[in-house]
Order: sequence, then C-alpha cells, then structure tokens
Amino acid sequence: MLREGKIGVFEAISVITFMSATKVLYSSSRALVEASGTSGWLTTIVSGVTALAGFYFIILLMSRFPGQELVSVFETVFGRFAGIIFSLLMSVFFLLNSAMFAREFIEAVKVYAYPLSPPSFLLVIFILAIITVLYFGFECVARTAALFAWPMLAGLAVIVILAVPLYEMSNLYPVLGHGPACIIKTGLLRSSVYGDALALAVVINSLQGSEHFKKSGVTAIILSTAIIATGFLIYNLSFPYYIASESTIPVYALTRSIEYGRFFQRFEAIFLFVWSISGILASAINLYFALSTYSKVFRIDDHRALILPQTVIIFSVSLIPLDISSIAYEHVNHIRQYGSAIYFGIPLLALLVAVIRGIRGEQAGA
Amino acid sequence: MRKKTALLSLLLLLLPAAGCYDRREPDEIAYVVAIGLDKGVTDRLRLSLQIVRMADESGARGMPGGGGQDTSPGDEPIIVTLDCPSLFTGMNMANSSISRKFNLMHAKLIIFSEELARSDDFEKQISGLMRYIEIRRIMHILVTRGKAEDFIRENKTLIGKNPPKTMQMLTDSSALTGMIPDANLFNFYNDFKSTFQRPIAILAGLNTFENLKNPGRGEIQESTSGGNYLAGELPRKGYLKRELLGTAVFNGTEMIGELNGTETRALAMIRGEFKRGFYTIKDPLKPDYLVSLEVFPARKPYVKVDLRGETPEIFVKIRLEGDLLAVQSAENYEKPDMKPVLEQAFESEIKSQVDSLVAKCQKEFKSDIFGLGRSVASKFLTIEDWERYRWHEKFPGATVNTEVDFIIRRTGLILKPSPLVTDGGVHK
Amino acid sequence: MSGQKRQSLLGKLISLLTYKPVSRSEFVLPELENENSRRAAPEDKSNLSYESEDSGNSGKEKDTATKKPVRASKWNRVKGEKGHGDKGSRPQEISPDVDVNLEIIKDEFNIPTNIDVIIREFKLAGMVDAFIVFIDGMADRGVVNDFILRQLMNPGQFENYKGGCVLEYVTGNVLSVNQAKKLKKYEEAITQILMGVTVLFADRCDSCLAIETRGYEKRGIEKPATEAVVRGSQEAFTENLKTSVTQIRRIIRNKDLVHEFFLIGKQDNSMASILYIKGIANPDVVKEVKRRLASIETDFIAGDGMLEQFIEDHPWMLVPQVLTTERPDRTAANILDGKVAILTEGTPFAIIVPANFFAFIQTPEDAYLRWQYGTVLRFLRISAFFIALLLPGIYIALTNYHPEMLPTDLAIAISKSREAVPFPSIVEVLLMETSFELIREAGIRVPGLIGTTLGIIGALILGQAAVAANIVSPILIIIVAVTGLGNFAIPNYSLAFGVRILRFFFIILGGIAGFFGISAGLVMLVARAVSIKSFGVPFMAPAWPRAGRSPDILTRYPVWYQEQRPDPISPVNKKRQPGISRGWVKGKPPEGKRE
Repeated sequence: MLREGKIGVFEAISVITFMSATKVLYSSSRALVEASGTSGWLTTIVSGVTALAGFYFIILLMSRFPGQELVSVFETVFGRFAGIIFSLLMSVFFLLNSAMFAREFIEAVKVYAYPLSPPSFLLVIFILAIITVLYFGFECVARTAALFAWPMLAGLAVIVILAVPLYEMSNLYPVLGHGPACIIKTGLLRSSVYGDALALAVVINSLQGSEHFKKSGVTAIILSTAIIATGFLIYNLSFPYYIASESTIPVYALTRSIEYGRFFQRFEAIFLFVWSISGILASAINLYFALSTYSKVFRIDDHRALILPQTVIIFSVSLIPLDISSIAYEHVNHIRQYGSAIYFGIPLLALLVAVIRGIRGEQAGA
Repeated sequence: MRKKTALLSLLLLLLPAAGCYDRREPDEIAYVVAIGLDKGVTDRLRLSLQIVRMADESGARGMPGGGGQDTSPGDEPIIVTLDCPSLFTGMNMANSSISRKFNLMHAKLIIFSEELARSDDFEKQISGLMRYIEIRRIMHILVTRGKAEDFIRENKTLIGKNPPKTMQMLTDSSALTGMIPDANLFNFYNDFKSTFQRPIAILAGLNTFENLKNPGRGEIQESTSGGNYLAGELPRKGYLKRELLGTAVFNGTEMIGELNGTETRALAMIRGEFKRGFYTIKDPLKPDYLVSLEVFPARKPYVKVDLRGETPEIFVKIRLEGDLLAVQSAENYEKPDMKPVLEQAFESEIKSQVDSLVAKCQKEFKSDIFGLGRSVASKFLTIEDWERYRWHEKFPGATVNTEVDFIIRRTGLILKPSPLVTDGGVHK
Repeated sequence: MSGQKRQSLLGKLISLLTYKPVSRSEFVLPELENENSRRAAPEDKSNLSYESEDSGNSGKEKDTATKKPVRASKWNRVKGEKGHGDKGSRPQEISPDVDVNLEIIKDEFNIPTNIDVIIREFKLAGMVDAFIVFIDGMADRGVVNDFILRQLMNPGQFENYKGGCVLEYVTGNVLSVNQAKKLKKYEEAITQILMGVTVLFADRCDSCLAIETRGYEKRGIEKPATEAVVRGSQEAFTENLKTSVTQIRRIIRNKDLVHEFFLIGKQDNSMASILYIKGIANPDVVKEVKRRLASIETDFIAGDGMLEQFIEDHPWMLVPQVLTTERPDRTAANILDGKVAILTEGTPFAIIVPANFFAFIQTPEDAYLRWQYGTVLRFLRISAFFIALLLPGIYIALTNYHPEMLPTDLAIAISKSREAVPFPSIVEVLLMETSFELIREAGIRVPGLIGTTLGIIGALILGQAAVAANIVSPILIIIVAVTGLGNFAIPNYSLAFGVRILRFFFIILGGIAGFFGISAGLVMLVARAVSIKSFGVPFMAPAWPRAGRSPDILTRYPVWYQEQRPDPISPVNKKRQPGISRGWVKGKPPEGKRE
C-alpha cells in the first residue's frame, strides 16, 4: 500500500483550497468576467453551491463504502477493468490540471515579470520545487499547504484591503450582469472550479474518518468560494465590466493600480509571492493526486518512483499549447467547462450503479 | 550517494548559467518620469521622454555627505524628442543615442498636446498604450495647451532636486485645491470606454507671465472665486512656466473642451471627489468686503434618478461643510442667527457654479463627465438593458436639478469679532 | 572496447537515474496512546532495563559489561577473535590473592610506563597485605591521605576485627568516606579508577572496594555566556557532569526525576547522562533516546556537539534537530514539559530532545518576562529570522528583476548609488556577505585583546573604504549590516548557522530568477522542514502538523493560560495545571476588603 500518513482537517482544507482558489489568480478568471459581466461574484457563488451539491453525492458514495478510497470504490462498483479506466481518467485529469496550472502560471509570469526568460527555464524551476514537495510524500504536501495557507490568505487580505480606494460601488451596476439565466448557466458550467474537493476521496484513508472527510470537503468548498467570490467582487468593484474583461490576469491588474501616496504603491511584490507559491503548490497538489490515483490503480507501493516520469510528462504537456491565446481561450476554458463531468459525473455514475446493483461496502472493522 | 549529489549539484550549477534572462542592473536602466506625445512632423508621433539624471553623487566624493550642498547638475532633466510611428518604436529609436534601456514603470505623467488630444489620433494612441506592461495606470494624464515637448522642457524641479517626487506632488495638489482633477490613467481608461460617463484629464499649460499686468494696465475682475483661469493664464510671475489648472473634457474619442479651475471644483463636487479648497465670496451684508472659507465635503453627494418620464430626471444634492477663514467686515457671522445668512450666500454661489457647469456639459460638450450615468445604471438589472438605454444620447436632454447644502462648522481663532472702528474711534 | 566502456558508463548513468526503493526505518511517535495501528519503536538493541532506578552514583553494571575499555593491541586481538564480548584468557573475577591482583592491575595500567596511576602498597592494620590504586589528579589527595590511608593503617581501628574478608569490616567500621562499594570484576574496578575513584585491594578477599575520592580540578559555576537573560537565573552549566546534574536536581526537587548514565566513547569512556521525569516523559521517546545512545560505537565523544551528530535524525539537514542549552533552568523547564535532557561530561551544555523549530527561536527570557513583552520579543525574533534568511536575496531580486516594484525614489537612490560600482549586484552582495562572514569568523578566532581592533578594521573595510573605493554601494552596506544583525538575533547558534548558509542559497535563487526563484526556494525549504522529524516528533510541530492547541508557539500567552504540556511530544501526563490555576480569581477577598 501507498503510505500516505495522516493529515488533519486543517491540512485537508488547505490542500483543497489551494487547488480551487488559486484559479482566481490566473487568466481563466478573465473568461468568467467576460461571460458574466458585473456579476462574476454571483456566478461563482452559484458554482460553489452546485459544487456543494455535487460533493454531497460524493459523500453519499463514500459513506456507502466505509474504509475504501475512491479507486477501490470504483473497482468495487464498476468491476476491476472499468474501475481502472475511470480511475485512470481521473488520474489523467489531475495530471492535465497540474500541467495547465504550470503553463498558465508560466505564461502569466512571463507577461508580467519575466518577458525575456524562456518558458522552459521558468518551468524547470517550477518543477524542481514540485519535485521537492512531492518527494516527501502526502504528509509533506499537506503540511506545506497548511503552512502557506495563512501567509497566502494574509497576502490576499492585504490586497483586498489596500485596494479599497479603488472600489466604486457603481461598477457593480447593473447588478445582474448579462441576466440571471446567464449567471446560472455559467455558474453551473464552471462548477468544476470547486470540483477539486473530490480529490479528498482519493486520500480518504489519510483523513481520520469520514466525518473529517465531510467536514474538510465542505469547508474547503465554502472557503474557496468565499475567496474566489471576494476576488471577483473586488475586481468588479474596481473595474467597469467592459474594462474588466480585458485584463490578462484580473487580480494582478488590480494590484498594479493600488496607490497610496508617493511611497506606498507598487504592491505587486506581495502578489508575485502569493502567485508563485500558490501556483507551485496547486500544481504540486494536483500532480500528487495524479500520482496517488495512479499508484493505487496499479498497486504501486512508493509514489516516488513515479515523480520523475510524471514531471517529465507535465513538462512536455505544459509546453504543448503554442501561445497564451490558445491556453486562455481553449485549453483551460475547456478544462473548466467540461471538468465537472469528471469531478462530479463519474462519482455520480458510480453512485447510481452502486444503488442499482445494490453494492455496499463492507462494514468498517470487518 | 556521492554520485547522485554530484549529478544534482551539476544540474543546479547549470541553472544559473541558463538563467538570468531578465536580470538587469538598476543602474542599467533609464527611468522615464514623463512621457510627452505630440502630433509628429515627419512621422505620426512626436515623442518626448523625460529621464532622471543619474549624476553620481557618491562616486567622486566617497561617502555622500549626508545630503549636504548638492551642486551636481541633477536638476536639469534629460529630454529626448523624436518623431516616430509609435511610443514603443520611439523608445528603440531613442536608444540610438541613449545608452540605457528605457523603463516606463516609474513614469509619473503622460502628457498629450491639445492638438493631439483633439484629433482622431488620440483614440488610437490611448488604446495602443494600455496593453504594454510598463504603462502603469497610476500615472497621471495631462493635456497641455501648446506642445507637450515644450511642456516637458519646462517641467523642472525647483524646491527639491528630485524629479519623480516633484512630478508626483504636482498632481497631488488636486487634493489640496480641487483646481485640477485627480485624473490618472486608471480612471481615464475606465471612463474612456465607458457606457457610464466620459473621461477627463488634467489641463496643463505654460505661462508666459504676460497676464501679470503692470500697474494701471488691467482692471479688477468681478468674480471672486480665483479659479476662473485656464492653465497658462494665471496672473503670476516667477521661475516655473509650468502650470496645472483646470480640466480637459473628452467625449468617447477625443478632447472637446476645457474647464477652468472653478468649474473643475464644481465638477469634483458632483463627482464626489472634492477634498478641500479655499473659497472667497462677497460678504452678503456688505458687498464691498470679502469672506474667505475653507470648504470640505460633508458627505458624498446624494444622487436620485427618475427614469419614468420622457427624459431622465436627476436630482443632485451636494453636501459641504466649512470653516471660516476670514471675515473682512468683522460681521458677527458666528452667531447662530447670523450663520445661515453666510451659509445661504455660499450655497447659492456654489449652486450657480454647479448649474452653469451642468448646463455647459449638456449644451456645449454633450458629455456626462459627472458620472451621473453610474447612478442611472443602478436602475437597470442587466447589462443588455443598460446598453440598450444609450445613456450618452440621453444625457444632454436630461433634467438635472441641484441643491447645495452648506454648514459652517468652525470659525477659526475668533468666535466673536469686535466691530471695526471709524477714524474717530467709534465702532461702526 | 570503447563501446564496452561507454556501455558501462551508460549503465552507471542509468543506475544513477533508476529508482531504488528506500528502506524506511524512521522512528515515529504514535499519535494516540490507544491507537491500534501504532508502529512500535524498533526493538531495543541493548539489554537496558527500562525500570532502572535513579542512580546518582556511577556506572550501571550492565553498561560497563559491554563498554570495557581495552588497549588498542588488545582491541585488535579481541576483534580478531570475533567480537569483543569474548573475554580472552585473562581472569575476570578478582583473585583472592593480592599479589595476583597487583600483577594484573599493573599490567592493565601499563605500569611502570604509565606514571599517572599510583599504586600504594601497605599493610592493612599492620597485618593484611593490601594496596590502593588511584589516578593522580583525578582523585582528591586530601581524601586519600586523611580518610583512607590514615585510617586503614591505624591498627587501633581494627581492634574488633574477627577475621574473614577484611573489606566488609573496613566498609563498616574503618572508612569515614561517604561512598564505598564492593566490586567483583577487574574491568569494573578499572573503569572506576579511570573516573577518579580509589580502589582498595586486600589479601584474602575476592573483591575490591571502590572508595569515592573523585576530586579533580573543575571550573566553578559561572554566568551563561551565550544565553544571557536580564531576568531569571544567572547560572550556567559547567563542564562537570555531576555538577550539572546537581544543578538540575536543585531546580526539580522531584523523586520521579530519573537520571540514567551511559558510557559512550570506547576509548575515552566519556559519560553521558539522560534525565527525564518518569510519569511525564513519553516512555517511547525515552526508550528511543536510550537505544540511540547505547548503540553508539565510537572512539571518542567530546561533549554534546559530537553526541548531537551521532543521535540526530537527519544529519544532512542544515537545521539542528536537537536543542542545545547551557542553562539549567531551561533544561529543567523542558524536562518538566516531558522532554529528555542529555548531559555530557566535558561541555557545559545540555541536549534536549525532541526539539522543534519553535524551540529554536524561543529564549528563557520569554517565559520570565510578562507575556506581552515575551510575545513582542518572539515576533521580533521571527522577523529577524526572515531578515537574516531572505533580505539579501530579496534585495537582489528587487533590484535586478523587479525595479518597478520599488518606490520610485528608492529605485533611483539605489541606481544612483550603484552608478560607479563596477560589479553586478549579485557579485557585490556575495562579496560583502563573504567579507562579513570573514570578519565574524576572524573575530571569534583572534585572541581577545585584538578583538576590538578587528571590529574597527572590519567596520572600516566594510563601510568607509569599500564605498569610497566604489567597490560596493552604500545601500548594500545597510542591507548586509541589517542581515547580520538579524542573524545575531536568532537565539540558537546552530539555527543561526543554518540560516547563514541558506541565505546564500536564496541570494543565488534571487539572482537567477527573482521573486519567482525565491518563492520556489521557500516552497522547497518548507517542504523539507515539515517533513523532517526529531526523535519521532515532526520538526514544525505543533503548528504543522497541528497538534493540540499550544498557547506557547509564537504568541506566548500568559503562563496561567498554558494548561497543557506541549502535545506533539505526547507526554504521558498532558496536564500542566488546572483550568483555573490562579485559585484566587475564584475566591473572594475577605469581608470588608471587598469593593
């Protein structure tokens, strides 16, 4: 068995929040602003609520099979072969997420701070950090996330507070953006943003008990929703909707515009740290779940054997998109829009099959 | 183990060799503090860049003498002017003479000449600027009467020798006097593409010192608010020709007019950006005397919108408060029953200023630079509805009612002045 | 042939890259007492009985049995005979014939070549052949002369002697020395002699008598040199182990304070003691400490610095994993928290395990001051830690990669000050940091009298001259100086050293990739820091992972608020004080004195 150690609720929340909330710092949030106009924050709350509903089904599924993690649940429900297919699909999806995080980050950082550095050089540093985090196992991943959780939150809070003079209530008008139908449709489509809570089901045995699983999953979704909604809210408050949909990285554009007199301006330094660290962590966590799922499917004892090959894959996958446009308009957009099918669709399917075929897990302790 | 360590350290050693792409020493950079844009003669654009002089003070004299007498030529700005197709190409062209890489990140001012601002090219220039990483939206936007190049040549430091500080403090005076708007690129660009309102910029100019007439050549103006001038017209003399006063008004594409200092204050009051300012009005009881007041906003202006009628009806209430600075007539305006007299006089003065400004914007400029559209927008639920309403077309016909509310809070060092005396020593 | 060679080279390369499973035999501390799936600590290697009692006197029998000192020649011989458990041909038990004993002792101590060991032959009470052995300088001559020889040679003392082994009688009636113990074996006797005990052999006895005469020159108790405090105890440990143990006993007057004793160096017989409180300290931790100490096989251990390296979990890490202190009060406080203190002969320091990161940035002063002051001090120290670690790296990153993030005036000031400097900033920083480290190192090594001179020279070189010669910019001097100050404010010497080395890592990262590089470095550093353990306790506990609610990590809450012992080390008895430890807040002032 893969030895993953034990993590607490706070660590689990940090892990999932890093996976979910980091997305607000990247270019994909621009697409949401474009789609929803002034109501980005409302839309993302709709997504959050949808994700909570989706997560409820995951909880139902997992509580049917106490003591089993997602991969073995799939194998129990769908049978060994189909279960492997579904689990691998998830593994690949985590991997893809990780790669896209890496590339999105690299592109953004190239635009805003390192125009001359080749992406591969930045990617090498990025991946070195990922390898270090992954090498020491899941406990290390979780603790690193937990350690950085407060500084990152504090960094975001500083940005939120410093940007207060830029806020203009009237930028939120008209309140409903492109209309309630659009809010709900976009919100449902992009609920995958918060789908990462599913990952907890992969490592459910590290979370001491299903009670912790529920608690940390739900809290993480709510927390991420709060962070992302705040991000959109302050962004919508500062920029009118037609300008808001222009910026490559909305929150960065906001940070650059903060100014308090002659000395207190140019706060991107804070942002750059928040940005890099959460980018690295989000990518590392996604990659870890890819590794973990893969190891569990093939009964691999030590995930470290896979780190090097997987990071090589990440490296090459993330360099596939040619330009930032194809990343922003196509790849990431597709992941966000169709991700819910993987995050919520497969578990829902598993639940349905389990209910129809009447499969239940063995009672705990038996 | 040892081999692995060796391999790893070799890889790590390769990293620095491969890295450092974006590294640039701070002393290899030419910091641009002001960008001037004119209509070009041999090309589309005439670009002027004002650069901070890196005259090294520490080098020759060893330890800098703790800010002692500074006789280095650091006050004379370096200015590069050239004709070029765009700002970016222009910087490369300028590098043929200037050895360091230009960096616009620390630019404080971007200056358009009035000629350029009033032409079709202005729109192209603005939207061409915003994409570039080095253009920070916290820089202030100026429109100068005359040429931007000339303005930059006169853009000198006087009290201190620190150009960036001077540039920054220059625009900070908006909070001090209200005579110029606080127009940075962030706000300008937000309004430039706006469906809510129209953008404004700071009006600048060069004063030739000719308005300060010799005795016997001019006459005393009837108006007393002190701001009825445009930039470059102030009756003054001394050192710097540079002058920032008033507002440049734009419609969606180009500059369409100017507001003087007084109008700029009225504008700021409606926009809710007014910070403070000294006002001088005629004494309501003794018109020969003047009363000076320092005025602050009491609260944000209250705006009410009614869209039921044919044309939108807008009600604006400006709420101000102030301190007495000077009462030449020594009237006892501090008394509770006398205070309203002064307050009402001031209210009607401000109301007339505001009303005439609104009328000017509706009739002459046909531009909502007040941001009234933002309040109108709150009546709509979706962007589609709002954009269908076409506020910019509705604004000139809108009914705008204003009301000014003013209260004197404090009276300075004197709470009850004794009356002036006549020649005979009797109180008037 | 070359192809073959290349293939082998390729094979080597491949073997470098291929994955080899790592065997994990890390000691972990189980989280909960009654957890089923606890991984037990690996089997105890030595036969150390767990219930060993407090032994203020020297030497556990079972220890010395495996720690027999042997001469190098004999060592080799014994090794040749496979395992030094084999005792060879020499008799082990003490012979009843005093002449045989004399021969053996002389042989063991290489007499007469060895002039330190003094053998004094005499007649006990004028009738029994006897001799005493002691080492000159280790034993107190006064005691030997006045209380051993004088009494033993006085026939008057033996009036009631009825025959039999004379040693029984001597112990009971003659000697007026506080400790005297019968020993049966030569090697025990030899060990005792080496420690300064005087051993008496008498004819017709198959044992010998170890008489406590230890009394060598030692330093008095002085003020702490590296952990000075304004308020609180002003005494430090000394090199003498017994004194140090006594100092702790003087603070913790508790019958459950257990002192166990180990001989560690195979050649120098250096001593180490462990102290813990039975009933508070986690027995698993104590067992692990004993296991590690007992397993050490080396020639020579000179004090805690070397011992630390033998017992720490991660020798490759830059941060220390055991806490070293020279203060008895701090040691005592940690023992009372459920930790184990290890004291060694020869250095005035105690090692405290398990240790975590937060212990390294705390000082005893924090606890002695009122909590508000203590908390402020801790935050100051944390910022010092980050300044010492990151400031030069951030300076490089800001100036070289992100000049737009500096306030304009500052950016221009830096640029101006660098105008005439010929080096790139990273070379400049490395140059200054290196010279700073040089001055520091030189300052420690130079004789005291020259020290102040060196300080002036250093300040001159670093400050005036370097700037005047345009070697460095004045702003950089400030950066380096503040960094140095930050480093000195880190209370733990080992941690400060780790930070000094890590700083260069961050300078290089800042130099190759700016803030992004530093961020990546921070992630790497944190990932490593949260994954290491000190004696089964995670290094960053109790914050990461979270363990209990300890009100004494960064903010030091009031002492009466700290009701629990630190949770991550799983003390047996977690409760330090009741919920209301200030009983008077519950009660009422006497009648008439109430408001």
